[in-house]
Amino acid sequence: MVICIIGLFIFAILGTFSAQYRLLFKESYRCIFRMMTFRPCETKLDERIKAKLISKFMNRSPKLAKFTYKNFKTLSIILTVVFLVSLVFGVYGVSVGIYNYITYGNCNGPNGGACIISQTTPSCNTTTKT
Amino acid sequence: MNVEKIREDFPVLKKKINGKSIIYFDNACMSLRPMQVIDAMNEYYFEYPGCAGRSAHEFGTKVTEKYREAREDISKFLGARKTEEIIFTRNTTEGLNLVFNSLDFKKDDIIVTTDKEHNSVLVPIQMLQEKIGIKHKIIFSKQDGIFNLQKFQDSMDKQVKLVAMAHSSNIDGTTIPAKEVIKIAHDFGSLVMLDAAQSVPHEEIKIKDLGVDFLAFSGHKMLGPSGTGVLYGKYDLLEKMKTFLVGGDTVQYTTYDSHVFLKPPEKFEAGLQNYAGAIGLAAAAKYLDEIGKKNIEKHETELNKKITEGISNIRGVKILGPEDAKLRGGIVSFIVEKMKVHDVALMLNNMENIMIRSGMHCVHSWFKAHNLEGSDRVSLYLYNTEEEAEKFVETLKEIAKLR
Repeated sequence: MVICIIGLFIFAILGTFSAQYRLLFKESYRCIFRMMTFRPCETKLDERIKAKLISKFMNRSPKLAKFTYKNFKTLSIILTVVFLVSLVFGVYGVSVGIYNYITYGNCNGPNGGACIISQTTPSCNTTTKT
Repeated sequence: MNVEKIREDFPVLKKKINGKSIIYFDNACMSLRPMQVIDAMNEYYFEYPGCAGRSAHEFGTKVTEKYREAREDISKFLGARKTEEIIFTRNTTEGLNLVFNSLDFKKDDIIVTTDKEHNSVLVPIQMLQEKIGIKHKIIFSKQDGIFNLQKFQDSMDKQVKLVAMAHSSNIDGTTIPAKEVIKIAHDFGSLVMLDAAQSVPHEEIKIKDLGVDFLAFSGHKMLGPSGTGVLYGKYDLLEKMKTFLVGGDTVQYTTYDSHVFLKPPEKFEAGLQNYAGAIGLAAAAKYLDEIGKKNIEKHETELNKKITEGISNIRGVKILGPEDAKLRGGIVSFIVEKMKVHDVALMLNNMENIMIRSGMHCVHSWFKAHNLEGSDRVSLYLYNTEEEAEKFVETLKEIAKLR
């Protein structure tokens, strides 16, 4: 079921380009919504993702396929935690960057420094507000 | 039987998914349809899309005639005594429910079943238990899944009103000795109803020889359109039975405070019927008759034997039911130890487009009693080939390595 959490974000992005992924996004959403309301996920999306992944691995590396099959739940929990942590850090980093940009005119804060977004790209050093 | 020639009649078998042909092994759930059935249905929609038995115009007359012919064809297909003994339904479940709800059950009447009944037999009985207080007696199969005729005989008495049994099990494909069961039941004055959803499509069944009182089956498991089925009932029994669904058709006439029912089968066919479906079903019956049920049965048994031999050697794979493939018709139900049944089915689908059924096959009661989460089920039919059977065995071997 946890794999649906990653699926929700990934399919949301892919869904902007293809209708096929929009359906999968809807399924992930339904699954997570049910999970949040303490009901079992009935879409079997996680089972299908698992089977698809393992079927692909089986053609390339049966050992990897076996390992993934046996540890799928653990792997999907680890992946989900890593994904959520990186998402939190990512959102935090972007928020700080935006705050710095609005406040100081560059994304690194009062000390300035090289950054991608700056009011005076490429140099950030001259943009500190007075 | 020329399987390659037969396959040409099934347009969906030409379909490719990810560049690979499909291997359809889910025939116990739904069979594929030949062009002959599709054409027969299309003809109705293109040529005479009217309603039968009501309108006197050109379309109405034509469809009335075609619908009557369809009933005759099904009657011949089953070897019934009268055409009027054939009632068109939506599926087996509806046919079974019609009998359960139309027979005059009283408190403490007994219904006898096997331990492997589909929910469409089990649930109506449970409803009758709650509503009327009937009793339900279950005949448990032998260790290998074979019907226990001795136990059945011992459990019969004059209180048994109905013996309702799956002719062939949709779990493991085993078939009950219907002739003996019917004889014993009749000796005790009981009626017999067979759930023939898994037998009519595959076995030669002649009602006159069998002597069964009621028999229900679905069209979609025997190359017919989905949403079609048949209930056979002995005419004198049908005549006495109350109707289950009433209203449109079913009646000769009504006044503000009375009604007169039509004779069977019309009194049981409420509302506007699925004419295209019935016509398509008759075309399916003709198609099967042309090929010959005995040939189909032999072909399925051979494939089953091949699959059974192939998968018996795979470590961790266990077949449900008797070891002998001959006793399981066209069904191979199996579990792969330490693997989820749905995982196996999905991987077969993803790797080689092999479509099988996984789960409890609407017989939760049996699986719960045997502490199993379900099974994977291969169900064969006339268009399946040896190459498909081999491909299935090879793929399952690979999948079983994951355990």
